[in-house]
Amino acid sequence: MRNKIIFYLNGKRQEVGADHAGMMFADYLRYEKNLSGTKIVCAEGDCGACSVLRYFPHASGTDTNNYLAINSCITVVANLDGSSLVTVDALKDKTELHQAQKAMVQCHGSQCGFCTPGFVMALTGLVEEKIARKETVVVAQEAKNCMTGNLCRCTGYQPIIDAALSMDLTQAETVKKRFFTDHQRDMLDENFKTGVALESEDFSYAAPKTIKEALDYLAENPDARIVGAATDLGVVHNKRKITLTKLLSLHLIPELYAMDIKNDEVTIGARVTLAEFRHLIKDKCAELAHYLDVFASPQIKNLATVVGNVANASPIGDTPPALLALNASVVINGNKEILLSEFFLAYRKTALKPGEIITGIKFKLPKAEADLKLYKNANRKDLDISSVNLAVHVEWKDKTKKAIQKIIIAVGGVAATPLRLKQTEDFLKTNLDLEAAIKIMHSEFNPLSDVRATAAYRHVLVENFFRRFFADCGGST
Amino acid sequence: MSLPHDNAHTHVTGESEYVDDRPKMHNELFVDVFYSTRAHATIKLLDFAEVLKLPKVVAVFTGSDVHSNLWGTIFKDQPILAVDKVQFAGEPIALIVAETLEAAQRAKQKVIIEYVDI
Repeated sequence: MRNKIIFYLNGKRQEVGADHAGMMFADYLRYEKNLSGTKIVCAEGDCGACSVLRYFPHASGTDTNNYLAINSCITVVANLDGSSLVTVDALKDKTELHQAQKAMVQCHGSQCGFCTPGFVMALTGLVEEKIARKETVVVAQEAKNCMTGNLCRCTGYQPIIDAALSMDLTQAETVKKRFFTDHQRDMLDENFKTGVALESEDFSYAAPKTIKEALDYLAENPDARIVGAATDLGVVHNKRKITLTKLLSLHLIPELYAMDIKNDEVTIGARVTLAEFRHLIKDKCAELAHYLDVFASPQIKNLATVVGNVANASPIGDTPPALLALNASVVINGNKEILLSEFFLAYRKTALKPGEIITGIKFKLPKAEADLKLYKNANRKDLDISSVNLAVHVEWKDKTKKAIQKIIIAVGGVAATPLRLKQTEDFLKTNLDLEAAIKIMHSEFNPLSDVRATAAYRHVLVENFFRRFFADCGGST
Repeated sequence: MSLPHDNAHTHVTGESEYVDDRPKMHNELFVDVFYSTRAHATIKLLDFAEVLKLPKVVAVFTGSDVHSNLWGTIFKDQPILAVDKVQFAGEPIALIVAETLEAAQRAKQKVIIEYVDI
């Protein structure tokens, strides 16, 4: 067992014990390492001022095999075990600015300068990805997508987008080449073989090597919280609503990084990130990939897991309606399966029993002739909590699309859990009468009014998305 | 082509120094502000007993501790820290001083306050 978290920071090995492992990484950088280039503004993963680059060599996604931008303000130091990290403080190579830095200077991309290090790191993440794909030209949409997780309140975004478009990728050397050595890889591989147990007066952290060890630990420590990337728990911690004191991490269990599509069945392990998941399914289920594009930010998706989004059981989580529509199953303890439609019991309460661990998710890809549509409405298009999200998955009786064989309608943001609209589904299976179905649909939920949307508006959104489904797929009613 | 911002170079490298980037002083204390959650109300009860019991909390200041609690550019009629009555949500009511920022933030949750909406 190790009693130290081990990672590389700007090329230097760091060993962190229980005393500092529970800190948020941004605080650790600023107050323990005196690396104050990384800023903290929102402390909840929305503004991106805290962006740093992280490479995690044990992940299985080949498209994400790079240094990726993450939010350091909601990342517990312990969760960076096995990673190689680069911060803005080390980005300049001796006297030579990085392409992203040069472009931001030349295009007047900074004013007060407080968000600038975060933008620079997000852009550097894009450069890493582009070079890995052997691409040399950044297009505007790509630049915007890469910066959905960064906010600027003074310069305005145009100079920053101009900077992104003016970066000369042929002149850029990758951060990976500069900072990641074979020696580092060997050391991280070696450390990955040993479990972690940290214990201090106010922080305890366990990272076992196998599912069995994890289950044993949980049996003995029923009060431990399982953390994925803590992109949600980190926010709650920073807002001082909870304290992360006793954590169980599954990051050293290799099989949980597995992801695969076999005979049209998608299986992903508990450690697969939203970014890796998007890459996995992008050619097989474009609708789902597009939906993931408007969900969260690159910084969040590079760290947050799909399983975490499901386990969190938020009524407004973005993957649950999509996964419900795909009739996904949750894999528990590596050997038991439960349908997602039976998983959400009440507000933030799931069928997961004490001592159990979600180890993966599996679902069948939609059939080629089926229609799957995923809709999300939020006050801001990107990186915003949905007001309502709706997923509809229909298998038609035949190509005329005049009768429905199978239908799943799943909606988020209208009840205490992500909800299947089963009465509407049943009705539509025998009677494709849209107006009558909409009446049934409205009777199936009774949403709350809150800051994101009123109950009446949520009803309107669900109805309109539902109408749009039939308009989009050409089904005749 | 216009000249770059004077500080552009240090902005992009993270070398520009903002207040919180300065090295911490030994024995430095941290202050968090306790704000009103009501738009317009009288303060019926305000109790810091639990706050002051916390080990890292050093002091609590309210309007009555301030030498001159009213300010304003022309008419000095605006309280620095609301006393007895709040006039907007987010109005500062008290300052909590602690050994760490986190301790101050957590201590804030232990303030007992009762409002009567006006």
